[in-house]
Amino acid sequence: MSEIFVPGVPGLAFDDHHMPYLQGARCTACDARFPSTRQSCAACGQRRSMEAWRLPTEGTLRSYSIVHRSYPGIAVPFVSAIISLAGGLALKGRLEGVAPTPEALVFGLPVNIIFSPTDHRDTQGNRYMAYHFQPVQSV
Amino acid sequence: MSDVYIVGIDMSRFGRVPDATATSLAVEASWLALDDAGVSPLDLDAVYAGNLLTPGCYLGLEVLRQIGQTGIPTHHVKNACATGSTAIRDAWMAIKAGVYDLVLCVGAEKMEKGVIQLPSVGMPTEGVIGSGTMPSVFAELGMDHARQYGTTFEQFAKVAVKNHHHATFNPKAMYRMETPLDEVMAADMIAYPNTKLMCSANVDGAAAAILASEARVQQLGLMDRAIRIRASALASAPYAIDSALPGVNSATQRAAAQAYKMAGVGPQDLDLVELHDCFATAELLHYENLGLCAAGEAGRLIDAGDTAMGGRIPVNLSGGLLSKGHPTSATGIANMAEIALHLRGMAGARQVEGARLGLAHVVGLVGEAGAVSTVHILERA
Repeated sequence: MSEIFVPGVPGLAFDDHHMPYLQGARCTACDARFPSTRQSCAACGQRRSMEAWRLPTEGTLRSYSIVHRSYPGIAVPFVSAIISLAGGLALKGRLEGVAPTPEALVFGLPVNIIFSPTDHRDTQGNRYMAYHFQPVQSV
Repeated sequence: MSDVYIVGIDMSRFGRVPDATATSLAVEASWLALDDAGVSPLDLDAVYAGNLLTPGCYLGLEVLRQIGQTGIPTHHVKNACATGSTAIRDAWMAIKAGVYDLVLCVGAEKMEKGVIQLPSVGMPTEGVIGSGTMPSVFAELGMDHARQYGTTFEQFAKVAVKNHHHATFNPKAMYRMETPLDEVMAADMIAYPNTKLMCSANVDGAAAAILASEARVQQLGLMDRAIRIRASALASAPYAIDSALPGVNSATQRAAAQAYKMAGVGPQDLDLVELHDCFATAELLHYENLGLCAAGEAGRLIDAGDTAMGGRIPVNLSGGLLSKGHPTSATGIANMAEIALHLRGMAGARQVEGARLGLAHVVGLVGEAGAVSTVHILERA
């Protein structure tokens, strides 16, 4: 029996091969994009115009904070990053694989969105799946 | 429609007040404002009250129970950190509409120390999906400015140096101490580039104001001490594709544009500004959002000392949220109390000489749900 994973963040979905991806929404009336589902379009007010849209899997570092004080029990420091995806959408996540220093964090750094299970479980004991960012490895 | 005036306004001394409750602080501030106007609770037509953090608190009813249960309407307002300023705006609208003539607005908060922890639904995302703490969110907004314009850690830190210096002249501020630049930059890092001295202080406090219609001001003979509300604007952040960075800038820009249009003035006409420096990074963004300088010029504005006491356009002479303190629901009214002091020539050592026009700005941020902003322009009547 393989372990059952459940989405830990809005928009995280699993495809037919049980592979996680981020599902946003797109408005068929005005082409506005959203990083997760919406009931109706927050850009143009259309109802019944939202369709699922699969987010890209890479982006570039737009902004960040190096977090030294978080909620009790959360290991610090870590990098809270905002990345830009193709088309201008922004996504927040934890950036790993880069030293948490201003010198190491270069704006525009290309990153991949990596899906990974978290240490958190839901009330049924299923593990939450989430994502983080990793620099694109140059070969 | 009638102009609307502030005829009484004041605040409790911000700080940690272990024995106080939100209600007791609100009562203290309400009496101060009533006495400032020289009116009685029996004269009031309505109360607009705001409190966010005391569970189950209906502050307007609680206050009336302590100062006079006269049967008047109570309105309870909730708009994140813009709760107090939204109470003022709602009262302003009701007076404009001719429904009320004399209204008490009050905001009060009793706060915990440290990082405010928001409740989560589903998986706890803090530390997994980056950070949702306010110091981090405003650090990310600041670093987005740094990416575009090269704004530096040092320039952000200078905001804290300036506002702490201003607070040394304000007996109602929480922190009254000089913090030199090296001290600010070397303080405990909370969320780079915001060090501890670049984060607003969670404090206990209340602020209250008495608003009146023009007819009521004349009738009470208070025009010589009245403050005219030249503009009252409220906006929420519009849709943006990059909402992972919340619309703090866009909400402020919208509210500011409305306010300048309503007042028929521009940023060059202002004598002083109290803006929402919840974190040092935020203050520089708002220089541009409020039109105090062009886009990308905020770093140069703080370097030149233009926004310091004695500068071209002094910002946060009260000490701001960084040092005066930030009791969320009280903040929006306390900002106006500072402007009113200057317009009346009662600000003591930090007085802007001959101040005629001031702007008070607030941002309310509710995580992913969005952001709101209020901008009020006040004038010596």
